[in-house]
Amino acid sequence: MTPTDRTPPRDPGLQPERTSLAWSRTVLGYLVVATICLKAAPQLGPVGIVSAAAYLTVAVAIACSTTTRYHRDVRSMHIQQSRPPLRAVVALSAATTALSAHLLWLLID
Amino acid sequence: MRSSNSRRDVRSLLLGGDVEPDPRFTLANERTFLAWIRTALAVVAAAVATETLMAEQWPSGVRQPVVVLLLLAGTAVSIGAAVRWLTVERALRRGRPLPLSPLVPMLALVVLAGAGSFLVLML
Repeated sequence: MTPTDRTPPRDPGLQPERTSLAWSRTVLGYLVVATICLKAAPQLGPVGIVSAAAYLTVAVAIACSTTTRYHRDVRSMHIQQSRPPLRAVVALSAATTALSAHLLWLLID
Repeated sequence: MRSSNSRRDVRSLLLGGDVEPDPRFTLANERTFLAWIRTALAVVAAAVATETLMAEQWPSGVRQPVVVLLLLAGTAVSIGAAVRWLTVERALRRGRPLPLSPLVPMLALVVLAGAGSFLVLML
């Protein structure tokens, strides 16, 4: 009973599931930073609240797309063809960079 | 139709290569990117925490360099995460060996400097 070429891949590594969990942990990361910024608002001023709101927005945006992403990844395992998430990567990196650079600019100023 | 064509052009320009890699490798690369982003978030969180929690304990002359270093590192890591993802994705699609990551020694140095200055300031 050897699997034929037409047998769908078993994916013993549960790759889509682990990737989905990685996205969820990232959401938690943004929530932590949002909480810290909110806590720091008395010292940072209104920027603390604005930063907290921005981090929270990123967290919500990712959380909303996680289920769709998971189903897409499961499908890509079945058809053995992936679509690199170029837009998500660029957007997430740009948002994180902008928020970090903004805090830096604020502190130097 | 035109917009989807031009989008594909941008993708092929950035990612290159005609070989579709194993989806598992693409997903692994995605997880590594997310791990770097979380690292950047941790560094930024450390910076904000230092700035606010240590406001009274440490004079701003010594606090500010630590906070600026951490925020610079957070910015660099979040840019580097995307660059790293892109170079790995390109290597996968061209069947080339994976490049080394300059982020690893950079982050190690920053963490060392940050931990060292915390230690010195605490003593």
